[in-house]
Amino acid sequence: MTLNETESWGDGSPRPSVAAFDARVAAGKADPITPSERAFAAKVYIMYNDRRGIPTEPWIKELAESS
Amino acid sequence: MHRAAALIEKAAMRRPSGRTVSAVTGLFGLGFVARGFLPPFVIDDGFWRDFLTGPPAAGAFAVAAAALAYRAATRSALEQRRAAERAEWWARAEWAMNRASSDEATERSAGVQAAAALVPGATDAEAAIVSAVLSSFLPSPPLTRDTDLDTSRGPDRESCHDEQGDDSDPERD
Repeated sequence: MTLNETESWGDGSPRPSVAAFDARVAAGKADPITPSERAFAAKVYIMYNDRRGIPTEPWIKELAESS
Repeated sequence: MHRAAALIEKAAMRRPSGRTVSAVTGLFGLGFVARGFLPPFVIDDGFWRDFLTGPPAAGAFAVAAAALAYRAATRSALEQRRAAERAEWWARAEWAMNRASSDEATERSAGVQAAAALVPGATDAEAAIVSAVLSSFLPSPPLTRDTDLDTSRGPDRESCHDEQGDDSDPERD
């Protein structure tokens, strides 16, 4: 079982679900997301927004600089 | 860089020596004398006929064909190299995103960092894919800050809130 994976769709492909990951974290089967991982994800989000010329929300910028 | 520029400037400033001037003048004179022994050079219909149907035109066409072939080969090689680069990028991104979806923190952290490192070399579509995968790592936006980018109502939007928290526009009433 991976981060966004739970039961599958009708065709057998994994159905993404953040709630399933949260449930696995609560059950101790998965490690919680660290601040460093959130910061890297925020950096990627900022880079993608920069490519599109879209301003990034300030709280995401703060998140990217937090780690 | 500055040294090369200085050398070029120095060479440009140097005046030609007398030996160089005499050598060039002598070559011009020799060519003028040699030209006098050859038949007169006339550009007429016969010249063009011989030129276009003889080896000169064949040589020119051969050079043109070689140039076209070289250009096509260069472009094809470039396309192949780009395709190979994109395939290699995707293989790395797939590895990174698979690791980023792991339940184990160590493996997941490596995947997230690798994916972030791959984004600068990605195309727009590839960056969108990585961003979509990693967006699940972002927390929900804070409720107190979710209108920071909402400038459509102008900078004085705070004044539109009345005591009861009603957002109605006072100018409309």
